[in-house]
Amino acid sequence: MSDILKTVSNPLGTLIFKETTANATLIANVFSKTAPKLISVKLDNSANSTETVYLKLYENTSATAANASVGTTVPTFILRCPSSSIVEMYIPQGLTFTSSNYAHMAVTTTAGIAGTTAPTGTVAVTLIGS
Amino acid sequence: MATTTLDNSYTTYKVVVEDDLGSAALQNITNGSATVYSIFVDNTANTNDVSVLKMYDNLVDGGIDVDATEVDYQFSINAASRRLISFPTGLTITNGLSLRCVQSGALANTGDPSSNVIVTVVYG
Repeated sequence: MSDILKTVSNPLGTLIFKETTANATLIANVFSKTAPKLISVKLDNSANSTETVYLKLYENTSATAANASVGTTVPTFILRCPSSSIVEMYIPQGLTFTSSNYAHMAVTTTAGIAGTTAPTGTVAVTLIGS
Repeated sequence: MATTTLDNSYTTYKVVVEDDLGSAALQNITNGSATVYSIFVDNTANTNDVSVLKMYDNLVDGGIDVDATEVDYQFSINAASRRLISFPTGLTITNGLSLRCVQSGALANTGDPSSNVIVTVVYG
């Protein structure tokens, strides 16, 4: 686990979260705040030549992601990335999570809600928010 | 539901504008593989309801089934808001892009948003 959460001066997004070995284990409260706004995502699956992966963001009122489960909880956000590829997205106005909710993340090899299988290759995730 | 398509007769990219993606799915709008550059979702008409944009890169026989086909991409757009989702380096679609807006992200949810959701997709 090698998460990074930095405060930066860029007004587009003051928080940068980076996980260099993302997997199917839920990482709770990635922005360390309620009602975060997601502005940019980089899903780096370039080192994984065998699998398509799916970044899934969840939200609930628990900072520890209590009662949230990968594979059964409905994600707020899903982004696919083919093997040996990088997907980047930018949302100028941001996607805002519900006011009392925290954001949590996981990466699996299954589309949609179901699936708890972690990628076998290395997957890195960078989230920029505020 | 009315779909307007600007093909690449005049430009190197294509545009699809759907004025009510909350009433039915758009099936395989890219007609196969493509690169998506941006998606604009206008949910301003739904003053109280989130709209969930579901996107599929999957050619299911008979078209995607919104309460049975697992999504490849899913974005929640807050009530009374509009959002541009851009992919600066492109989003690769392998099979064909299908889209639908519903009231929640649950697989079984087929609820139409109360009012029209306008979605614009730019791809090439």
